[in-house]
Amino acid sequence: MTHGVCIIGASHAGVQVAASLRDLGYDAPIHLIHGEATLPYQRPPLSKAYLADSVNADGLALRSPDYYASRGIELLSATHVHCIDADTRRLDLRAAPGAQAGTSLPDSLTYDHLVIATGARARQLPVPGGDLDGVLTLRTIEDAEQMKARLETARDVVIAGAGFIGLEVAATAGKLGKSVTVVEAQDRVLARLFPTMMSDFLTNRHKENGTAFLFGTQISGIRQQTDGRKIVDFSNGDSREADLVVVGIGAEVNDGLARLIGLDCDNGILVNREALTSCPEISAAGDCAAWQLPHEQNTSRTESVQNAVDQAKIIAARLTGNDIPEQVAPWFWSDQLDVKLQMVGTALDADDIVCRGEMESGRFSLLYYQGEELVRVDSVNRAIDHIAARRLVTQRIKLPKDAARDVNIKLKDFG
Amino acid sequence: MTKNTVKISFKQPSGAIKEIEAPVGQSVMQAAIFNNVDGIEAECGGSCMCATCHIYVPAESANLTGTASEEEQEMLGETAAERRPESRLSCQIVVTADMDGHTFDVPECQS
Repeated sequence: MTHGVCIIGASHAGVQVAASLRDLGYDAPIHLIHGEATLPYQRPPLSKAYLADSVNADGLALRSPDYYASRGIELLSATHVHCIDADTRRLDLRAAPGAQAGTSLPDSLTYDHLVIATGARARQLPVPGGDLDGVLTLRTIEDAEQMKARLETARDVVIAGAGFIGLEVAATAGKLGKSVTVVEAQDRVLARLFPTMMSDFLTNRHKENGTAFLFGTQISGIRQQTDGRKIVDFSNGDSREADLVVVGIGAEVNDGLARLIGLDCDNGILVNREALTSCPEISAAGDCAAWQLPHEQNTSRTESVQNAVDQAKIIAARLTGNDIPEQVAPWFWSDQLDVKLQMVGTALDADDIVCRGEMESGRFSLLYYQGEELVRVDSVNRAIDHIAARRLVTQRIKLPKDAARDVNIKLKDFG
Repeated sequence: MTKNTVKISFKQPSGAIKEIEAPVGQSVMQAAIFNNVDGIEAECGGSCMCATCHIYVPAESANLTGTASEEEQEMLGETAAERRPESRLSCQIVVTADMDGHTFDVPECQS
């Protein structure tokens, strides 16, 4: 008897594995194990449109309620995997919070192949008061609900971390008329990812939206006041009152199950080019998986929808004996105020950066070079460059710099 | 179903037609994804950033779908399937009450 595929985690990667398996004609059982009680949903809008109330929970669903049954995918919601027995290929299951009483849940499942798509979790603020009511991270729909409710009455919002989550929440809270302060340990926003000129461009946009920035300092503690408000203390000795503290200081990989059974891990579950772990019956995909990107020496995790979906499609192709899709240069996007930021490529060690379009116009792309090769492109409100750049950066083409600067020459005409 | 939905259809290149109930106010892309219409990928989730929710809007429905923004026009230059005058990104079209009974065409490919 065939047991089919079990998938732990029903976010972008897990759902895509199930969907692609069925699209490719896989006809054995598929169990999709979801830790939350909701339908599987999209995460990117949580810090953007969902927080701003322009989409509702229904609009977040990755697939319709009847999709899973209609494709023969057994969706187990509000279910946790307690442990994996890799020798007998068995999962031990437990009901998760939100599970409805009386729902019949199998105690265990046996698989022929296992896909771990457990993602990552928000890093908590490791300071006194970091766990107070009203100090929130943003990762799940439940987090977003709480944040939305708090934002309704909050006046002052302090945000720890000037990364994508922090800046997206700052944009939304600022637009809602809140007084927003972003606290960042580095000397500028997104310092590990961007050159100073891009950090400054983004900072100025947020300042125009009324957001204040405190650079080179971090939250050292949070104190609860009797009126429900908090005093947020900073390491530079300053402090500020807040009704809501948003923590956007990165994510930690959910690799606990994988480590318990001895899968090779190094800041993520290590997988090869085909998204297979060190165990031949176990794959991993999405935020929890680390692999080697083309042109990179080290393995890394990529926290993005594209990476999750592509790794999922690779797994489905392998399990059904189809051609493995090519690895592409990672791409990612962020919406902040009137800035639609799209990035492709991960190179941090470019030796030259060419600006295409005027930064002041709010519509430009930065093209990163190593020698003559195009290794990364960051686009601001130039989606047309981004779409072309996905192909050009994957191929690392030699794009003449004078053509790169000339917005009248289309990037799609190269490569 | 509440009255806030309309019936719209998607026609595949094969000629197969799927009719769905689309909530008024949602994007055509969302309605298609939610109802498992084949051939609409929408890999960016509806942010007008990927050009993989390309559809063709037949002339008789064009007055219901508004006009493509400059940004959408640019993205339409990047679609995988042939761009035609009827080309639109379905994430940028809002379902309206008067779309009831209309049909959109799905292109050969999205990526």
